[in-house]
Amino acid sequence: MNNLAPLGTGSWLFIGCYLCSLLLIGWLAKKARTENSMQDFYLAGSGFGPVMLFMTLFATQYSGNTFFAFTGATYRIGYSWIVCLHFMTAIIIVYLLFAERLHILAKQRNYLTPGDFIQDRYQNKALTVIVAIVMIAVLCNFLLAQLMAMGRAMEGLNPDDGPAAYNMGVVVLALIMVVYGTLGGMRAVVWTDALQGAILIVGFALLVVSLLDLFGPIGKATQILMERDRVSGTRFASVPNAAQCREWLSYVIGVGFAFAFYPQAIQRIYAARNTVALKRSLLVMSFMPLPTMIIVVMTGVIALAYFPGLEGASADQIFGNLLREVQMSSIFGYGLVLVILSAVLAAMMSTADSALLSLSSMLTKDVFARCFFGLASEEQLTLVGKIFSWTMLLLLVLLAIVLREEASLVKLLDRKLDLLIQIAPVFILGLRWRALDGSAAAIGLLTGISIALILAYGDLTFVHNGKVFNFHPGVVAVVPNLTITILLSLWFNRRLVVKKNIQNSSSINT
Amino acid sequence: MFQHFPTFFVYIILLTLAIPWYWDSDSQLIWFGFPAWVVTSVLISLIASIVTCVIFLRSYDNT
Repeated sequence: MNNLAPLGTGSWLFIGCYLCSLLLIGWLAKKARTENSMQDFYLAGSGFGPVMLFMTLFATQYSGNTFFAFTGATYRIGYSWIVCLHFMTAIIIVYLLFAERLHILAKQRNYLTPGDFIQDRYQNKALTVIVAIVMIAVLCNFLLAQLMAMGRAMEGLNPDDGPAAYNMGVVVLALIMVVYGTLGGMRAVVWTDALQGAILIVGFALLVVSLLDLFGPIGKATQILMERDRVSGTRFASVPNAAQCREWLSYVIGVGFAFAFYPQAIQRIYAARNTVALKRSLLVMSFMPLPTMIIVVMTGVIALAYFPGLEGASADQIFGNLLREVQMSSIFGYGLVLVILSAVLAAMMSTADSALLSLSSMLTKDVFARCFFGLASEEQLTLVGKIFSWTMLLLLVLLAIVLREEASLVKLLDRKLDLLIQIAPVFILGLRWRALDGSAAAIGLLTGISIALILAYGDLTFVHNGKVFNFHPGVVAVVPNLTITILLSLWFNRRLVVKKNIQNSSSINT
Repeated sequence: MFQHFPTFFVYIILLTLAIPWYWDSDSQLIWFGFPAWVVTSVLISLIASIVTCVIFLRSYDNT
């Protein structure tokens, strides 16, 4: 958000009050707790109705970072980033494959973490730990991206201070987040999600109206981009070529099957009060990509048409240029930008705290309790979870400060996709195919992860821009993963049947 | 929720139509201020959302 006009004392006071209100929500959520158990802290006890569930699913999937990163992505590649509309829709379609069954099981067996389902279904500790480690790695990546986005936002608000503002932003916002998360657990996270989700969507809709008012109709921006395509050979408004179409297919499959398995999203499926609440919230969610992603793409296209020239990680900051124009246009514009800035900061925090809560629950339940201290009481485990939250956040804050200028936000998104999609067969097939074997799934999963990482980091000649013929390494690697999982399961089951037959015949003979 | 096999084919067809591989690469058509291929893609996404919504609504009966 570089280039914003300097904010006055009143504006900073407003942002400060807004952020402090999150602490108040955390305190109220602590008061609303019914018991000191992990179920209450991490899943808010009996769960959420359709409205709260929808708001929290929305705020989890569409963070402030989404608006930054996706506006930046549109700025880099033009209209072709409309693919984001399809991959966000694909996530909801993938929920059709597993969400209801998983929710019913979660209610029957009191699941808390994704690892609980894996252990219950497969009775295979190795598989449970592998899935937990993959999800923890993804959550760390996710949390890191949110922290870096928070830092960049604060850097944009104080362009004169540069790195110092970035560092201060990461530290202060992370501190507020962890305090209200520790106070109120899942309840605080969902309540803040609801507040921020509502402000964010209304704020952005008003922002697009302001931008159209300032720069004229979107058709004008489209014509500018088409003219630029004609003169300089870019493809900002042109029909995607074959390579881009393959990349679209990869994004739709990859993001759809990967991001439906975000641990925090799975825990929200667990936290639905009942199946009807889950279905109603997902029903509304199926329409949310349309307004949100169209707003994001329009914002990026206007930025690309009127503020060309930014590259790399700085393209993620293009959003700030647009905000400045709105901010300088009128008193209404100034107020609108102020509300959007507060909501964006808070939305980043709400997305990050969901990830932090999932991270601490998985470290506590799937790693600490399952591998080391299975006999610890609920109170002890809740305390350990809070300690994990603070420790992990501290480490990631330090990493965010060290990596300040290193990675583009969309690159971080791609690595999450590569890892998370490998988990999809374990959940989807596990819920639908009784014969799926835990050891087979573990071998398939490890193979998939290894291939994805080799393709992503192996410096291979046939990998261009981190993709294999425009397909994400994770999407390519899930094919051998799935094949090995299915074939080995069939083989193991066949061996089991033969073994049982031999035992039966020998018992008849004796 | 995803009980019927034909539904799977509906989504495959929608995915095939959502990706603008079948558009002329030189197309300069603008509809409602957007490139025409973008409008088509958005409409397909709207249909996908409606299909998903119908599946959720119909599955209420099974709950």
